Amino acid sequence: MSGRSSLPDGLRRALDADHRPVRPLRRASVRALWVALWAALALAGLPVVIGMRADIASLGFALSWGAAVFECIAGLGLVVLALREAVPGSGVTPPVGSAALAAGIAVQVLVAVLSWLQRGMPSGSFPPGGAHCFPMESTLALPALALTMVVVGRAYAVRPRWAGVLGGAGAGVVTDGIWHLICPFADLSHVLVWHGGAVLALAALGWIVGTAVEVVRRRALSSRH
Amino acid sequence: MATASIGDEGLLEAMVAYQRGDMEAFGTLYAALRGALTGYLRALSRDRAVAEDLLQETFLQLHKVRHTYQPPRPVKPWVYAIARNVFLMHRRAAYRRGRHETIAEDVLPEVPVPPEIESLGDRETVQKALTRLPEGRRGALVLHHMLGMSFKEVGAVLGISEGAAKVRAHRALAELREAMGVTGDGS
Repeated sequence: MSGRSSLPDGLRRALDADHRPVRPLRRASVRALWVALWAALALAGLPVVIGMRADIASLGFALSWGAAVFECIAGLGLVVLALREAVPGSGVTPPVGSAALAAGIAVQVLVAVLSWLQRGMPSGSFPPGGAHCFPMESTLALPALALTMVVVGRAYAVRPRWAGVLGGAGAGVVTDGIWHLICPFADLSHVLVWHGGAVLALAALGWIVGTAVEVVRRRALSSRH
Repeated sequence: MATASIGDEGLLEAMVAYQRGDMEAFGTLYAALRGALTGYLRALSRDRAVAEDLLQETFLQLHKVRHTYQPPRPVKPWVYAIARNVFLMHRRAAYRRGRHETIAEDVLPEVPVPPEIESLGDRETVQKALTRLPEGRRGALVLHHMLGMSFKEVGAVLGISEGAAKVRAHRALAELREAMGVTGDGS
């Protein structure tokens, strides 16, 4: 009915150059297991290596480990959406993606507020102290971001910036869950400004990576036409 | 449309065989999708020669990222999402090079007219009105009315919800009717 002889030369050459069988991408939730594995290892290891926050006992199990795991799961949810977005034709609609981003940030704020209430509402200063949390948390999130971007890059995001924002925010929220067990500051302003800022910075970094991918693709297309 | 000749099941089978390394199956996909994809790319680019270039580029991309198709999802939304992305990349590249899209009043654009819309007026006037629609609405209209995709599939191609796809296509139709001076149900 149709054979390869009917194909234009350029296409036939591309087929001749690469005709190996390929394995279809797995579901987004399965591909996100790489990031989940990193999160599990970091959750188990980093608080031990860097040192647990001093007031961990007064937070109780639910607001320490429970809240950390809850935040990690929320962040992984965003990573799953980024990986779904990276498959053509199964993208995340803007309302769903925006709601998920808002939910990720809401989980972070919820954990911060509940921990602050539990600690007796310690007052903070403005600008809040502990600015070093911003670079520390952002740096610790880089492996999660890199891993997410590698898995996203294995697919083909038709909106790479959108996938980058979702993946960046996801990596940020996952890392914030882990950092919650380490950071010694209990005042709300610190968490909202420096930890929230780190998540936003990671989302922005994801957007920049997505933009770079788009520029590379556009240049490749320009060079062929 | 050409896709109708082998149907969604046939496309799925060909796609799975192609992923397993059967390059004859690529030929089948090419033959089945070429006509409709060219129409879609013409509707987006409003230029026959550009559409032909983008068609080849779409199939090249499709070949490179063939592993991203996940059976048993429908094949068409995956293919058309890649085609639309290729068009958007082309448009941005053209914009960067300073080649802005302009359509002279006296030039008849080469946008294919969906059969349901042809009845609104003479072909030339409908074609001009269709060309002036914003890309997002024109795409939704063409995907649904010309290619027969469901609104769910249109949403998957455009990265929007089923409801938003329906709204875009209906607004596009309403704008066309208004431009054609047709009121209400088209009478």
